[in-house]
Order: sequence, then C-alpha cells, then structure tokens
Amino acid sequence: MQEAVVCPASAFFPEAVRAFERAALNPILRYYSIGDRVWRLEFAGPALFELLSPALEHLAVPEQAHAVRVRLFDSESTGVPMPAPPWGQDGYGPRGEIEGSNNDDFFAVFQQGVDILHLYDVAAGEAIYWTPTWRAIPYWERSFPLRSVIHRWSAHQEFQPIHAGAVGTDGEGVLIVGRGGSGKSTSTLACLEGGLHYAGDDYVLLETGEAPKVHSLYGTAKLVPDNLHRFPRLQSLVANADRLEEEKALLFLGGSHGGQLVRHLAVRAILIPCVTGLRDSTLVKTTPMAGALAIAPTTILQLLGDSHGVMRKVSALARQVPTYQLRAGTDLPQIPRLIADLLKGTHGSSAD
Amino acid sequence: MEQIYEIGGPNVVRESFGQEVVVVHLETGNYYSLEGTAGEVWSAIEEGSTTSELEQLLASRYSAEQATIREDLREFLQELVSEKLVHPSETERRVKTLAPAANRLPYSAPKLGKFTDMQDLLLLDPIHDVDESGWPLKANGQA
Repeated sequence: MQEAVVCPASAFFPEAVRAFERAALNPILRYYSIGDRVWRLEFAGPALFELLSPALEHLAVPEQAHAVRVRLFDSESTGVPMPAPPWGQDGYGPRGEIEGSNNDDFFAVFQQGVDILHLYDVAAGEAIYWTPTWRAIPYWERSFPLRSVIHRWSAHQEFQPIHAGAVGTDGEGVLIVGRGGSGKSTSTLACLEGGLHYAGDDYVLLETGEAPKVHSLYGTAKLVPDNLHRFPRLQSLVANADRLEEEKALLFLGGSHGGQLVRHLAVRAILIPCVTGLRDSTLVKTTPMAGALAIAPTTILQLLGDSHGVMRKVSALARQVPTYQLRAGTDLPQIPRLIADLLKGTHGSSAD
Repeated sequence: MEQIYEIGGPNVVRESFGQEVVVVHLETGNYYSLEGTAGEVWSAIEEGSTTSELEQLLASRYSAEQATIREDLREFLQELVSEKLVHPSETERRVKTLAPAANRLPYSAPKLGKFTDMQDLLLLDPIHDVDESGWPLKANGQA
C-alpha cells in the first residue's frame, strides 16, 4: 500500500488556522453566492474586510451551509504574525507557487510583489488568505479578491473564471473580451450607462454545459483614468481618486448600480471590441478561433495552473456561441442598443 | 526514413478549430494563431507527418511551385522550433505518398500569428530571499 504524502503547505495549514484564530478576536462573517455555491468568508477584522468585501457584496446571501470557507487576515492590523513556513527561500516556483504543494488536493501560492499567501485545501473546502500588511494590497487585488482560489476551486468542475466582461438584458448576455486598450472596459461601462444588466468588466465565472452561463464575481469596474471623462455619472464612484496618476480608476458599483448587477446571464455571444474612431458601432461575425484567442491565452497566463482545462472550457464555449467583432464607435450609447438588439435577435450583423 | 516533429511538451497548450489553431506557450507568455495553411501544417504535425509529407500535403492541395512550398515550410518549421512550439522527434518513420487533389486551391504560405502582449505577466522576479519572519522579502521594498 502506498503511503500518503503530505505536502508542505498542507502540513502547515493547521498552524496558519491557529494564527488566524489568534488574530480573529472579533471576526466578521460574510456569506457569498459564487457560481451558485455558498462561500463563507471570515475576516479577522475590519482592515481586510473593508478592502476586499466591497467587490463581492452584491453576491451576499444569508448565513447557511457553505461549500468553501475562507479565513482572511493580515498581521499588521491584527498584531498576529504568520508562523515561519517549513519551506525555505528555495521553496517557491517562478510564479510564487510553493514547491511540492500544488496537486489535486492542495493549492499554495505566495503571490510575489504583493505578498499575499493563498492556501487552499481542496477536499476540505478550506482556504487561508494572509498578507503581512493590509497596506500593500493593490487596487487591482481589491477588484478581484480570491481570484486564484476561485480558479483552483473551478478546476475539475464546470466552472471557470475567465478574463471577460459580461452584460445583457432579460437573463441573456454577451461576453466582452479582449486585451488592454481594445475598448473592453469602455464598451462594458457604456452598457452599464445604457441601462443593461452587468455581471462584471474584467473577470466573470463561466459555467460550461449545454446552455453556458456566466456568473458575476465582482461588482467592480476598472477604467484608464483618461477615459473617465466619457462617463461623468460614474466619476463619483472612483475609490482611488487620489492615486490615478499610477493606478486605473477602481469603481465599486454595488451601491449605485445594485439594480443592474446580476448574478448570472445565459451566454449568447462573444464580442471582441476594437476601437474604430468612427461614429457608429457595428457587429461583424468572426470565427470561433477568434473568440478562443481573445479569452483563453489572457486567462491562462493570468491564472496559475489547470491551463489545459481553461483552454478546453473556453474553446467549448467558443464553439457553442457566435463570436463577433464589436467595431466600437465614438457614439457610446449605440453600443448597449446594438447588444440589446443582438440579444433580441433583431440585429442584422454582417458576416464578412 | 525521415524526421518528424512533436508538439513542444506540457508548456504548449493548444486547441484546434477546424484548420485554425490557438496555441499558448506557458513559459514564454507568447500566444499564437495559426490559420489557413499554417493550421493545416500544425494539424499534420500533430498527426505525426514527416517533413516531406507536410510538403506533399500542401503541394497536393494548393497550386504552387514545389520549391516555394519547400522553402516556406522550412522557414515555418524553423520558426515553430525557435518559438519552442515543436521540436524534432527522436523517432523517424517512412514517408507515405499522397495523391494530389483534383482541384488545387490558391496557395498562401504558412504564417505564425504571434502575440507578445502577455509576456510582462511572467517577468516578475522569482522569489529569492526571505526575511527574519521566514516569508519572502518585499519585491518593491515597501514596509
């Protein structure tokens, strides 16, 4: 009989939990519905709660049985250090993955540069999120907290976080995908301004299957500051207005746009925006390969592990729903109208 | 006996859509689109075709000089190898002969569509030091 090998991070996990328990004298408990599963987040105190919970608040549900439990703390605000790990300075892979600790049962990464430790015991459904200081949490982490744990949780399931925005109406929606500068955020926010339902602008949770769905993960938006003037009504929502010289504008939409934030949409199409400089916007049908090319590489390279699973799930979606180029014009209100028409089936796109 | 190529290992993630292929290289952070003849050649490489079979495949389907096809293929394979997307296999095998198609199509050389905009993500300094707490030092030197 083969002896079970305990990975270093798994052996360390109980120590990390004990540190959390010392830190969490007055924990803040929140329950969120992520991909129709309940996640219980236990914040040791207000520091991380105030930074990380606003992105998820639109997914809040009452206390109930949960699928995943995450304990979050930082050492500075709680005064509780994380015990030294059993692995040394050579125990990290090129992307911060803790060597020997990433397998079917466990996920362990120390995200370098921002110093966030993620430990996730997959079978137990328990995770730890720790950072030495809440002060080092960058704005983009606030826009997609727990992204890497959600990705790991999705492996071997029908779910997959993907780099995409999602908007729609009447329960049906489109993914808006593409690299930075392509017009993805501008198009997505134009839809928010135009009254469409909104499930996210950067990372959303794909549910694969015969009828693919997209679940909202984060009620946030990020925008290059130079583009803020196009959305005057959103300017008051910018959470980092004092740091726009070096950061994208980060907006939390739950308060002002709560009615437009939806938990999920049926995916009807993939849209790849490109900025034309013309006034009018048009949709031009393109290939499934173009859809996969716009979603899979960026998602695979931003998320750690299960790359082949991401490619498989994204490619299946690209074969199921049509992909269009969204030739985005300068008259932004046209964009949500074009998408609403597409979803109603009344839009006649060209297929060149 | 002739040389065949293999897809370049677990760092190469790919998916075919008919004759179009998306490829991601996990180590370099580059990703690629292969369309038309490039996608066809890729699929034939995956099926274990030898270099002359690849040449025959294009010559049987497209109207172009054999010498042009041979030179384009040589360049394309060289690029696939230098991008670490394929590597020469240690196995060799005998060449099969293909019959030319009745109506050959207009030819365009196989080209690799290369995208490098995600490379920056992989350029973080690896963790190489820890402080007295046993945890990695800040890369940016902040407290």
